[in-house]
Amino acid sequence: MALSNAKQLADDPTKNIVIYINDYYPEYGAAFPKLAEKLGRPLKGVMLIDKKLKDAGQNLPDPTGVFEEVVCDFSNDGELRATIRRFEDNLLLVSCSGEGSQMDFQRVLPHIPYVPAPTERSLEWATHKGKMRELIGAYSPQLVPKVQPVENANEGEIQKVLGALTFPVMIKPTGLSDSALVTKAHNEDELRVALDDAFDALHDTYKRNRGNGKPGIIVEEFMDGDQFTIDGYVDAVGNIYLLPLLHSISSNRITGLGGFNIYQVETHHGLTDEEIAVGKRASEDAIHAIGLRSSIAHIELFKTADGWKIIEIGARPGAYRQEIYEVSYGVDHALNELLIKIGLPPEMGKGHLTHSQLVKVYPQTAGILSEIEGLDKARLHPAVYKVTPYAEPGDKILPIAQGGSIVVEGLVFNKSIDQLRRDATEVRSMLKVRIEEPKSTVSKKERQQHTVA
Amino acid sequence: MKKDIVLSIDVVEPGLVNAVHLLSEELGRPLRGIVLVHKSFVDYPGRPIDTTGLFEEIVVDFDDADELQKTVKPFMDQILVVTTRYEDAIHHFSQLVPFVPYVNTPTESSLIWSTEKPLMRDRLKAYDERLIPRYQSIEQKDLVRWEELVKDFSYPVIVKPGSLWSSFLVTRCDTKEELGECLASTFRVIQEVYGRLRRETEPAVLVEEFMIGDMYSTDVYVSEDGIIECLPPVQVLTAESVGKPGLYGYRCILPTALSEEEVGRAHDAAKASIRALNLRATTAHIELFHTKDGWKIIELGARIGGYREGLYREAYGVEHHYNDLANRAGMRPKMPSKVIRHARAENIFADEEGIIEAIEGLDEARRLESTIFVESHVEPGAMALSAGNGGDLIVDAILSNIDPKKLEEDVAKLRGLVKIKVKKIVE
Repeated sequence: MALSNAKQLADDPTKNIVIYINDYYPEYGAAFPKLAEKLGRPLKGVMLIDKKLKDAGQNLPDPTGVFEEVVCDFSNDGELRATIRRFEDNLLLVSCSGEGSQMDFQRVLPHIPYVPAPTERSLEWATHKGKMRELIGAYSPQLVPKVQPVENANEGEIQKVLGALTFPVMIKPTGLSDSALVTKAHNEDELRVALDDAFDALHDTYKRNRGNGKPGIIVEEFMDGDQFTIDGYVDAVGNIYLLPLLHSISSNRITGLGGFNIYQVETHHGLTDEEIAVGKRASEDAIHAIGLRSSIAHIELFKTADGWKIIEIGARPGAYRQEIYEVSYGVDHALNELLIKIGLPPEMGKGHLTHSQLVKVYPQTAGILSEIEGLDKARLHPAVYKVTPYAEPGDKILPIAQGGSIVVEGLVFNKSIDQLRRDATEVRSMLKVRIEEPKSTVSKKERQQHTVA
Repeated sequence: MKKDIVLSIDVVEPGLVNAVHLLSEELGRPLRGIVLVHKSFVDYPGRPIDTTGLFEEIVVDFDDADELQKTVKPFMDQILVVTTRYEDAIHHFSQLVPFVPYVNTPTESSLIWSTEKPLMRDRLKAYDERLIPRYQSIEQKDLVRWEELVKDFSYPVIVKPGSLWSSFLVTRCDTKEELGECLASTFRVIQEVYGRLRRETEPAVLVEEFMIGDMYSTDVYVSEDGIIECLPPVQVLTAESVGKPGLYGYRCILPTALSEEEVGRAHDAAKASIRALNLRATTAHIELFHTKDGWKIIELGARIGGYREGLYREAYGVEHHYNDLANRAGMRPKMPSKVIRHARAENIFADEEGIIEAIEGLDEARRLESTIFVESHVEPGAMALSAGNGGDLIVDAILSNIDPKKLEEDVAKLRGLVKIKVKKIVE
């Protein structure tokens, strides 16, 4: 990692290799030729994939054939070193945008010392909710709620929670995304049930959703307020560039639904300039608290009566932020991540272009997916920017509280906020998830969706 | 915010204080120092501390991430450089790295690889197996099957503790029987030595095939973006090579008689070892053997080598500590152009083990024309042990002279003058 010299990489014509770890995402595929054009020289792309992931068929391959696929065992430092040695003299940057691959990226880091990258520990902290809170709390105590890690659902651990926290509390796995297994407990009885359920499902969910680190659970005091997210970039010397705040609404805020998964994300938030400034300062503190550098960042926050609180921070883009920031602000999020890694400033767009809302649809029951109805119809809706399904007919489906995941989401846009909301409601009503009773235990790939709101 | 802090870990040697002043002069602005001392290292015997007032000392528990973060946060934006000179402090450096993300540092893993000999060998072997001899790491739990682990080894072999520096407990074994006895005796004392030296890792020893050849070292600067600049090699005479017991460094000689071509090959091996460990933004001290099969790496550390500050200053006018800081700050080090003097470093252990009664001849030795310094590191009444038994150095010295013959004479005189009187322990 070259700090003050980061930009030299951009200017050095011999540095022409871009490595993506494990997964190919179309936005990063599209950013690659844009970067080459910007630098004025041809670049070579490499997909560096962990052998275990490849063997399990869990990586997202490059369908375009632009990237050379290189597979090696990431758990073997010698093999990893020898593999990277092939590219190191011409290495321009290494990017890893999948939440489930952050620990693989961590294993690569010591072998790419001469390109800007985060520290090894910062990636661990960015994927472990318990350590993340500990670090943010040590940096700025007012930014996090009280938290208690628990190792199991036994009496001793329950007593630790009762002694340290006030109800209501949230039960959260440490290394999972997408609100999987996140539940709320209002009293001791609910806490006991919630911890039992969470520990029962924990290991399977980690395996299925490619959780980061050792499976674990934290309990934290419930924060009441409005939820927001913000994405941004931090360069090698700690300069931070933040995109606009987005307003998230979780399912439990919607009449008739439950759960803490994100139901919708909207660019319109109604915050004052002062509130935005304070929220951005909290986000910057979170980035510095975990010592993130040369990285993209996705931060989730609560605006509470006691000020802004950090829910979590990831060293990756938020779900569908490429599309939201692109359509509403003219920002190429993936390209910006590549730029920040070579010491070039991100291109922050030209201000607000249009409102947009991300519509997220989850399964309400467990079973086998028979159909996602209305995909084509939704795509033809004039306000729809993009619709993406994450499951196929035949896939085993679980509700989010049981460790399941999103099934389909789409982005709707309009210059009028009122019309946007009408359109979003209409599109949501088109997208129906049809589920049959389970017939098979075989689960097909569930991980096209790589990030979480 | 102005970056004006030189942050050291655990120790501050006079050379570092001097280097901060030189860097301040070079940058044209005042600099200040902070030293973070691990709580269990505060009372480490002989820990070098700053007596000039330039460095503020802060005691911290490096094992407590929250405390470390809270300690560093108030000044993290003002840190210009982080450095350390002691091998013992490298582990703490690796713990600090994630809390100083906007300062040039090596990666956490590379620092660990540079202190744990088995991991270091693994990295060197994976990069280029010609760089090292055959080796096997052995832990206490492996003792029941050690013969199987080294069944293909050729004797003699060298036994080395996994994370001790210098020549602590380093022993040569000429036969399988000797190796068996050595492993047993090493594991009997290794816990005590690790405890005394504040080692926090599980003790392990490395068994490796003995390399026949001449020992050298070189110190190098690795820039943040991987440019490696090497200082001239130093020849190291081990005690064994001059007919004394033990494998400790008996004498360091600078400049060497190596040809330019051979120096180039030594530097190529040194650079390969840096790349094998993926070090960056650091000074490194690399020990090598010149064998008939080429240059082999004994080990490397992410720090300035012992006595190298004095040796390189005397022989080449290089300010090694200044270069260390400058390189870590992203500036080019000032490399030597020609030899200005001949220099030696001398290590003196007791010839016999026992209670030290007196150390004689130090004042006379200090008056020799070539003497730069002569220091005693233990007091009468202390125990003198051989290096092979985990003993400490007793006296060291650096001498230099324009005239190599005069230097040789003074070195011989110093060895004759300094006498360590030991009372043997009768069991």
